[in-house]
Amino acid sequence: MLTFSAFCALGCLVRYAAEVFAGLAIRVQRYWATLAVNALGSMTVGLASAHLISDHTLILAFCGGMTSFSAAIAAPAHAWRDGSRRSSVVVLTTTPLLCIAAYALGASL
Amino acid sequence: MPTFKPAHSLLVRLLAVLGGGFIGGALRYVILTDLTSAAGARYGVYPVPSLADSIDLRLFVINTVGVFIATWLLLGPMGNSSPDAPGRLFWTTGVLGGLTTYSTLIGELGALWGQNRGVAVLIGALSVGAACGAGWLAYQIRQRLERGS
Repeated sequence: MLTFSAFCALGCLVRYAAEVFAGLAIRVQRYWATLAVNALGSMTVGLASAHLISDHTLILAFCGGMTSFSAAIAAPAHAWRDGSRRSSVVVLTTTPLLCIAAYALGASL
Repeated sequence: MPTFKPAHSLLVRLLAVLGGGFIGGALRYVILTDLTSAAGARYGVYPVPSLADSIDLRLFVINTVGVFIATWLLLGPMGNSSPDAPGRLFWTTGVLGGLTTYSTLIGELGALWGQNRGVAVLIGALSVGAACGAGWLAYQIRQRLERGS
């Protein structure tokens, strides 16, 4: 459990780094970075599920920490309240579609 | 877009994310793993589930409750603080971010897809719909509380 939690924490750190990078370097709202890492994590899980026969618990732990259901919905809700309603609707609707597409892409590679 | 100057050192922010993520990951592991059986050692493999077992209620509850709490926190006083405030990073980015997961849900749906596509679509729609509903509920309660005070 300790190793699983440590890999999960590393995944959270990667998500945070992506959000900071999006805010400072690309100058976009952080939830766009959350959308990107959710898709990237789903693609990695698709890749691991399709091509790794052995146990890949740690990949799932890392990707589970990197992807976040709560941030994918709470951050757009926060943006909705602050007036960025079009962006929040776009993020809410595209996240599941993009994650499914990314998983399929990862599994087909 | 509001810009915030980080008021706390990089080390404090990294520790907040790592500490929260560690706790969130441990909670998810304990909840999703059946520690009393050998299945606990095989958490990392997606078995093709039988249709009767296709709805993982534990993951469903984790994601739905996590969304409610995160939305509740972000629409409260915590949401008015800097996105780099350690408390906000610990709870929302760390604990709740580590607890809830998109990739595990997508992985389970992918395993189910080969067996019954209709059920996979239904479970996916239910999971996302329930989470959106939880976020909407937290939003409405917060709005009512703000209007009442």
